[in-house]
Amino acid sequence: MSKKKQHAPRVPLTVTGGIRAQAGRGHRARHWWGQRWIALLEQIMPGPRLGRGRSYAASGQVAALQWGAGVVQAQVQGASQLPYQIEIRFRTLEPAARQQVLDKLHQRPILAARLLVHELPPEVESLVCEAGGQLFPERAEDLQTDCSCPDWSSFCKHAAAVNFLLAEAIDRDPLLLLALRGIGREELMGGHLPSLSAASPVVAAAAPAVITADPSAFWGALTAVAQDPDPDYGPAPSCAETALLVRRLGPLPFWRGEERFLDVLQAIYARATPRGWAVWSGEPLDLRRAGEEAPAAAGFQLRHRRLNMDLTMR
Amino acid sequence: MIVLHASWLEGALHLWAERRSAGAPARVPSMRAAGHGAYALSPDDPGVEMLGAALNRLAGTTGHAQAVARIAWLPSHAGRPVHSREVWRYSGEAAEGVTLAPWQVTTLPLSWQVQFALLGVCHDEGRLAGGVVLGQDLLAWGELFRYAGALVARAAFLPALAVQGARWESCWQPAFDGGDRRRLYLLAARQPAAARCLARAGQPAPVLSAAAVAEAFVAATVDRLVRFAAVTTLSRAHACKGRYSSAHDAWLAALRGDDRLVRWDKVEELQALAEEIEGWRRPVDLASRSAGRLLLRLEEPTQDDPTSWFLRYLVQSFEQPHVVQPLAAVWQADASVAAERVEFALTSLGQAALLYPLLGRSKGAQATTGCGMTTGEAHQFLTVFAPLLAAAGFGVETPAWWQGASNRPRIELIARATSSDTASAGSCSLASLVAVDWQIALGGEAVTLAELEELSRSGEKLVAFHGRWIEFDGKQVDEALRLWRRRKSEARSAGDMVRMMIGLDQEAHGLRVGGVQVQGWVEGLIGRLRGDATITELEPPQGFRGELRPYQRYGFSWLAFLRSWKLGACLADDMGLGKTIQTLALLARDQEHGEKRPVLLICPSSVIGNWMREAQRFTPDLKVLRHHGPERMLGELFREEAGRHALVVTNYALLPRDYATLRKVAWAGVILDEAQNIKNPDTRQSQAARALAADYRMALTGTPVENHVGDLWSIMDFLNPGLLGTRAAFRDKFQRPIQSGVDPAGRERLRRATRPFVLRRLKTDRSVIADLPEKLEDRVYCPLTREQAALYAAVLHELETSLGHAEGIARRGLVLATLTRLKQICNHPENYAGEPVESPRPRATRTGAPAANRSDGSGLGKRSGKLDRLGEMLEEVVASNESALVFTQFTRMGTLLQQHLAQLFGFEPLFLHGGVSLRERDQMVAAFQAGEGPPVFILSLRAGGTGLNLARANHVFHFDRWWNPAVENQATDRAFRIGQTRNVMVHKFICAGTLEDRIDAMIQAKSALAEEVIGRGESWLTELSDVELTEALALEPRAVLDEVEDDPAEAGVAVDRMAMDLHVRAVKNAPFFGARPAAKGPVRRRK
Repeated sequence: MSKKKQHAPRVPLTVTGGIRAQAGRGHRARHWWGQRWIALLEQIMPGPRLGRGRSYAASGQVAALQWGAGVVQAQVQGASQLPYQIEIRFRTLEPAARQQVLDKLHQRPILAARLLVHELPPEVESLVCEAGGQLFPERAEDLQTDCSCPDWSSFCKHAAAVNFLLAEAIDRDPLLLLALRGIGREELMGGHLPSLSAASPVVAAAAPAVITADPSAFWGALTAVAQDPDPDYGPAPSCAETALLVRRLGPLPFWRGEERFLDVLQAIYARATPRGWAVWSGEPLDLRRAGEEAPAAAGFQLRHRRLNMDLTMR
Repeated sequence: MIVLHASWLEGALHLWAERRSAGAPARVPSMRAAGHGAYALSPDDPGVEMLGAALNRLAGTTGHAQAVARIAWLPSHAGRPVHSREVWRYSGEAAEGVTLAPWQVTTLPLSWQVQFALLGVCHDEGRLAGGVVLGQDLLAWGELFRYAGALVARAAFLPALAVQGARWESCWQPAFDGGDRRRLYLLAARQPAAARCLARAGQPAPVLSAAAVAEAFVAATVDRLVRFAAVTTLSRAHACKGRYSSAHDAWLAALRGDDRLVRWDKVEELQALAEEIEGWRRPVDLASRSAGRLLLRLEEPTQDDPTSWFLRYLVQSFEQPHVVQPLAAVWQADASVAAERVEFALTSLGQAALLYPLLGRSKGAQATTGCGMTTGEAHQFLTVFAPLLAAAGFGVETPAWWQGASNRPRIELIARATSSDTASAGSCSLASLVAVDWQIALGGEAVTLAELEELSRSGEKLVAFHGRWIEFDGKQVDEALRLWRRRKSEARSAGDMVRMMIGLDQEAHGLRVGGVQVQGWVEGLIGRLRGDATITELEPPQGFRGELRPYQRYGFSWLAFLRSWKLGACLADDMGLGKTIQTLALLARDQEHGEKRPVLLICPSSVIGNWMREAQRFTPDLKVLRHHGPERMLGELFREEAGRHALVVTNYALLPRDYATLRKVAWAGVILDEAQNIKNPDTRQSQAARALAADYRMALTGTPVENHVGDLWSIMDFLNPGLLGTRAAFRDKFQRPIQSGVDPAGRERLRRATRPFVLRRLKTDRSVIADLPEKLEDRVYCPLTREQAALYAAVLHELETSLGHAEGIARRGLVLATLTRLKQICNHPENYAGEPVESPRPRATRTGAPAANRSDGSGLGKRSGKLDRLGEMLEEVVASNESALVFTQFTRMGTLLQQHLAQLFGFEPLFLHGGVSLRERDQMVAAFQAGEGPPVFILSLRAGGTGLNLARANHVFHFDRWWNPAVENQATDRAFRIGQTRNVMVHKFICAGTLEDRIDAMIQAKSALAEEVIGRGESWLTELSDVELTEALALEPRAVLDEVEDDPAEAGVAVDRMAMDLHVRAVKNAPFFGARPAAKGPVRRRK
């Protein structure tokens, strides 16, 4: 490790598509569990280094980040040609302690339930502590950091940047805290996480069938729709908030895009829902507003040339 | 007639169609007609041009559609596909010979733009003007399209990233929760198999799941709808650019582009992103795959512990909503419970806890069953969190007394209005004031002051009062106390009371008005409008020459009652119950009560003659002016002339055209006959009708207007301006909630608000049926069009020139031939010639469609007064779910009728004529009687006059006359066979001012001449002298219909004036039916 001091701060190389902190400059974490992580950083790191780390995180200098039980590995692009390799290790729970925590969670399903929806009930921390473990790092020693950069301190700006991203991810989903200690979603759910890519059991019920030859079932009775003109389309949205679903899910973890994910989505939801209303209540939809290539009625009059029959059987 | 269908093939909607040439014999396809290989071209295939034209007419565009030939697997019988409109032929046993067979059809694959435009109009009854009919499958696609709209409106969609082969695509996916998925499958089940019948050549009959197809369609539609809203010029360019700094950027750009493709070439990064997105969406995807949902049930305290409430956690199945089980059972059960269900149950509980933090509070034994709460918390749950949780898709079960917000017991005001008894109705108006005392009630019971004060002290929001839980708002209790202490009556207008009574004005002093009690003269108004006081039945006026049946007397009295209060009335009796004579009776009464001003009656041209005649017959003293035709008076001349008459009759086309003239007259009243003509508030007719100033207004209609929410506003605004609020307010308050189906109670609220002003009696009403004879006959007088009149005159001229030379048998032959020709002309020019004749003025074609193809019934409308009138009347019959027989003596006319009605209604009426085989005849009769076939049955008088039992019909139309009552009656009796339980209406069509009219008069008068000769058929006419004959056959010039060509330039002048008047009228009416903003200024001029 070189002890040579950098007299002029070197400008870090630009990374394209790095992971970007979504909170933006000056924004703190929204929940107490995220705030606590940041509070620890502020406590153990000198101010200027922390500031550099924060701007690294915001401008996407962290090119990659992987995490698993007890460890976080990342690559951070600094001023040198190759990105620095960084690793932060955490103490995982002993198997017995882990089982104890899981048992306790099982007895109070609401705790697991809140964890699943990205909330951290304070009781969870006491459960972990009772079992002899640790949920949050308390002191500098709890964050065993290794960085390949020439900085003599183990709390370099690169470590700070990774920690900021970590804090943001934890703020969004505190289950990550438990996962770092060895209790992931899979363990929480009893060791098995079903894949959702298979066909839904509900869909599987609707089996395909050969179409019927019975004329009235084939064409539909003349009066079927007239008899029941109002099928159930479901309840009206009762909330002014249009992007409730996305709000509930929060931003995508470790976002790399240049635009802020939630802002873009919320704008789209706000524009789409009135369109949906218009279609739902049977109002005419003005396609012309969609843009320049939508059909303006005049230009699309029936022309025989355009409707030349293509009889090749494809 | 062309029936449009749309079918799903390889991820896209394809439009195709069946053509039906009415009456044309089925073309049996030969192998020579086959297009390719072994597939025969379907004999019903309309070909590319007709298909394109139909699409263009509906959607306003065909896009760049390229027609392709596809194979449709259709139920077929006897070597041809079974036509969708002839399903009735193959019900029951007959269906056995039907098999699926492949046919080649022309299809248009629809681009999403065209699809949107087309499906956007596919939500009506399925019949559209111009002979284009929507198949049930297309209607069902329209429903799915609206459902996709509902999902987008609820923001139930999420972005996703998926790989299709080697192509990574961004898409907007619907995020169904279990309830939405169930709705989707219910909609899918409504879709007939025709929606999945297309295949490629060489493939077997398609094997598809209706649910899967519906889901694929909804997913594609949601993606397009959201994209359609999300794409901007900028984002489109950005999506095409292809230079991004990360996979995330590429994905986000593609979500806002026209193409789904994500332009990013590092597959492993896309893979990682897809996994991240999957994890992110997991809570929502879990919910969408679940067969049940979390149900929170609030349980009332028991007797022992009256303050502890309990919220129980349950799981409810979507499929069978009554099946619930405790949430704990899901994870306390053994491993047989799928991990997915546990995860879903926990996630749901967590999500509910996010919305309702109290859920996380329970500990110990209760932790898995539910959580306890205090009365205050229970109230907070009921008022705040229950709706929130329900909106988020959770099941919420509240105690029965809480359900149904409108009848929940709470503090209400009862308005007790007292007024003097002495004032007669004449001196009072809606603006007259009455003294109102407010009484405070709780759940319908009056409350004492002591009770109120106690409630105010307790401070609880939910109180057990007289053994039931009642919600209190502290502010309301205080408001009530203050009102009680003040104890002062206040003055309110009678119009206010009416609004309170019909539920449109429900607030006073910050409290809900729960009831209206009245005394004195105002009771006469309110009580009668509400229907609990009977309307005093009036004696028919002296000048009325006729008999009013009891229900008609009631209707006449009802009209007079509303008229005396200057309230608008809509008389919506069934066709044939005598709306005309009830109206005439009212006019006669007004005259006798000294009304000097004229009344304006607006009706379709085809019934002007009828009105003139009925007025002549029932109220001969009433002076009637016909404002019609090119020689009509205008301006000052008209004003003076109108003043000398009691009734002015004009038509809808002239109303906006002569608006400037009509508005100059001080009308006593304006009456709209067939008021559905103004249902579209944007038309100039509607604006003009609403703008005219008059003392009272009446609307007559036979169609059930109250069933069509959108149509109601215009008519009600004509009758009582401001009653239903502005159009925009009406749309938000009633139209949208009712039509989208989210507010089932809205229909009832609307009905309650309009009920006092609409009187609709059905022929089947017990009170009416007793008054009606088994058989009701009326004569329907129709005008001739100019084309008909010209032909008529030409034939007459020919007769006159040759009559002098003919003798004996030759003369008889000539006369009989002329009679036949004249009758044919009265029916329809096409019935006479089969070829159109040059008419003095170019005829107005309804659709502007090419008249080239006559065999499908286009171009028949607007050429015969009778045919148009028949269409109007049958429309009412069909709209009221009744059925009709139509008799004609000309087979050719029957065919024309069949073609025209098929165009008009979208189903092909049955037609029984001499050429129909015995077996087919039996099939037709059976289908008609069983209610499976079309509700209209055309019969040629010779073929269908005897022997059949067609008792399902309760209307009989004689389109032309057989001058022998015995023959006609025999035909009419088809509907009177055993099994007829309803009264039958017989409508005899007569062209006014023609031979039909005069001969009918002779028969009716039972003149000696007629008495002795009619037994011998029509030959007696040949024995008339030349002079008598010419007289009998002559054409009255007044019989000719004046066709008004709409000239926008000329009519535009009146528009501004109309807008001004509308505005003035709205402001003037504000004191009665308030709530119309005065500052808006005149309605904008329509271009």
